[in-house]
Amino acid sequence: MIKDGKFGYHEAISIFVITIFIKVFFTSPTMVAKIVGTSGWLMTLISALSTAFFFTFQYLLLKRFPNMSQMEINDTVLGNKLGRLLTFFFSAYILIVAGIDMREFIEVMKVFVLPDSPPSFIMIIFCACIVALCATGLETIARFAKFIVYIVIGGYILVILLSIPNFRLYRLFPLFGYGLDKTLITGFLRSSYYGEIALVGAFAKSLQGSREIKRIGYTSIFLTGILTSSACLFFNLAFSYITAQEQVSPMYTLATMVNLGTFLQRVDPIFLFLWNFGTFIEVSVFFYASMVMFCHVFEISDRRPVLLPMTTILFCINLIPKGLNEVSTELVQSLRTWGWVFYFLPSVLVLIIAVLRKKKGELNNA
Amino acid sequence: MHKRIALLLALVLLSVFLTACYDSREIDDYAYVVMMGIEHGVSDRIRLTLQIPEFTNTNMSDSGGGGGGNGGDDEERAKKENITVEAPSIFAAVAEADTFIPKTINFMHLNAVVVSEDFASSGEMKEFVVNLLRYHEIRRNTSIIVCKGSARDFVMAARPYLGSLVTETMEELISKADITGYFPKLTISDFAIKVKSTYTQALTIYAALNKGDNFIEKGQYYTGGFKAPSDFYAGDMPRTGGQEIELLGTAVFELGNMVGKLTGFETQMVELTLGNLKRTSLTIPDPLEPELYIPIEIKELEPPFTHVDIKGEKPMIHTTLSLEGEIVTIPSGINYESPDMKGIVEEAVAQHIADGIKRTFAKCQTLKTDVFEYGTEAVRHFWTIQEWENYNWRQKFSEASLMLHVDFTLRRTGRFIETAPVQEEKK
Repeated sequence: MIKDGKFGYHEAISIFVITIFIKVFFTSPTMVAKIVGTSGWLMTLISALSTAFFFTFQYLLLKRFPNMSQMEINDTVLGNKLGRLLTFFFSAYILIVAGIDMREFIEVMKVFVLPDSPPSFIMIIFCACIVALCATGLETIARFAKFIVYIVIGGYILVILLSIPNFRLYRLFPLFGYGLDKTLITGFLRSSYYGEIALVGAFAKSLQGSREIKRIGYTSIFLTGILTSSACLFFNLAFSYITAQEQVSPMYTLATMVNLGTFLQRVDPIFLFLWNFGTFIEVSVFFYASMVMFCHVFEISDRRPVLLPMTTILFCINLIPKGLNEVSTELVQSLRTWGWVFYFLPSVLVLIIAVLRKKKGELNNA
Repeated sequence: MHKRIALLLALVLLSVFLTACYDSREIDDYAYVVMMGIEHGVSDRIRLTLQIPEFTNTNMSDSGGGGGGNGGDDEERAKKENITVEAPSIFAAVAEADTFIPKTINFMHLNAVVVSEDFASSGEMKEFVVNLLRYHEIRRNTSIIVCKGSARDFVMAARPYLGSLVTETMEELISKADITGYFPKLTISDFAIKVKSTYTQALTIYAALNKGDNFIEKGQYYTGGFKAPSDFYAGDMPRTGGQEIELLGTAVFELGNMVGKLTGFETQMVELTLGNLKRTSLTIPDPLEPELYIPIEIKELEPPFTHVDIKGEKPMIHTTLSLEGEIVTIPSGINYESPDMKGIVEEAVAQHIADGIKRTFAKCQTLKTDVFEYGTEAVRHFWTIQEWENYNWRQKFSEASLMLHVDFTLRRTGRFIETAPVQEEKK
């Protein structure tokens, strides 16, 4: 029996910070540079603000139905059939996102570190780790995330500090990149980057009430906004807006460029650890959320039998993209641009319907 | 009983996994390339020369890794360690080399990429060199050098000097850029960024082999007056002895093609303006006895300040350099240490630097290459990339005016506080 368990806001914030922030280590900053040029750091702050706006709807919904998960709220507001259909679609979407993010990680690993290993070999090891992590339950993932988040952020700061000699202030100019309008619109659309915060609904019952959900949501968005904006800023400082559009993994490239004398160079293996641990948590969180939703839809109380079949599906999703270009320029790009429709719109719609139909949670009815 | 059998089985199974990977590779399975030479080929598009030194026990005097050793073996060792292949591309050449090199060729320790001047001028360098960065084994901090003559000869001439490794020799030689400023310290990453940049243009180290042809052993003594030190290109230095490789000057690129080069002195002026040179030595003509020189050690007092005014039709560049320094010697014996005379030297140094920078600026304007990176200041006046790119800085730079102010303060005069005159015969 896999139990969700209970955990505090530190653990929850750690989960969301890792899950959201780890994406900056892959191809996303490159795509941002391609779209907005030098203003990626500003664009992502706008994305964070948009996410905070959307999250408000989800928070209001969870507040209206205290002690209920998003899946239960969907059932209550939309009825069993429609609610479960919505949950099922969201579960499938989350699993697809997990698969795409995992394939992105594997492709980048193959480019930089494991060029001779077949992708399926890396996938099998990765899937085995996810199964092991998910079999222990959400609480274990959360506590592991709390331990890893300090290492990830500490390692990130270390790489940035070591890269200071490669930074040039002029590379931030022109400040508005390809135009302020483009920065604002892309910033709004790419709020999907922070979309993982919507998973708070799936884990709501493991958290300590709506006040804590509010705290977790806004704090996670604030922290990841600052971290991602700083990563884009440092990335811009290291590469001109033209070269920035070429990098597969800007942060990893930045780590390979560290060259402080003949002694302090080739520090990229440090970065590799952060990258691996962070991605394990990210994909595990997606996978676990998808499994929880799936089990809710089909009323499966024991999740263990579902674990291996879903891992097989995850493995198969991983095999669909043909290569790195398809993953980064098509799939990840689509997820970042249109993911907000899946992450945030359902909550907004369910809240509106709940208000219209005057549906409320038990405590509020009392 | 069952537990014991299970334990035994577990141990047997474990031993299978403890035999290491079937496809594992040891360090000595690889042939590590430390230098790569690229130039035009005769039988195919490019000629690629790879130096793969034999790393041996460094304590053995006769077989120092990286090509060192006794003179008699040098020729044979150089032939063995330097391989040249002609092929349509770099990696086709590497694949061809795999047919006669038993070990796996690896570029993880590549120290420098050397490109012949002809190849750099032909415009093909950007295609080959920038694309090297795609390959995961080649690190971005690999040095980039354009050499006079054949890249193959240059790579073959790279040998360990006062040490045991050719990589160490090259690293130490390139690090001299920080002290002399006679050549820039640039990597493939710098080249790749700048060759595509709209703010500035690409540069590389300029180098040549110096076989001592410019050294005139006997003849009339020199009476030609003041010459700025290293105001020539690599390979032109009048010297003999030491290793043949000489790094001096800068290869200048415009839109990926090498269009010119700067002398060692001109490079020093550029490095001073960029703020890359924190401390260096400079020799100026004695202001009161111009046939004699005053060597001065100069230091950066404050980072250079640059402001580019783009309001007018032509940009106006304002640059201020704040330097300080110390007199090394005064061959004329004039008492420049005294407060009354100090100003004369300060003014002469400032003038010498200003003249050098203006001369280099004018040369770069004719080449349409902003090696001073003034574009990095001009870009601050623009809000969007479209506005900046439409401004066309490369064209504007060639029309720009330079307002230069060099401020030099003489802080110390070495161990002498005053120069006492040398006694002369009384008439």
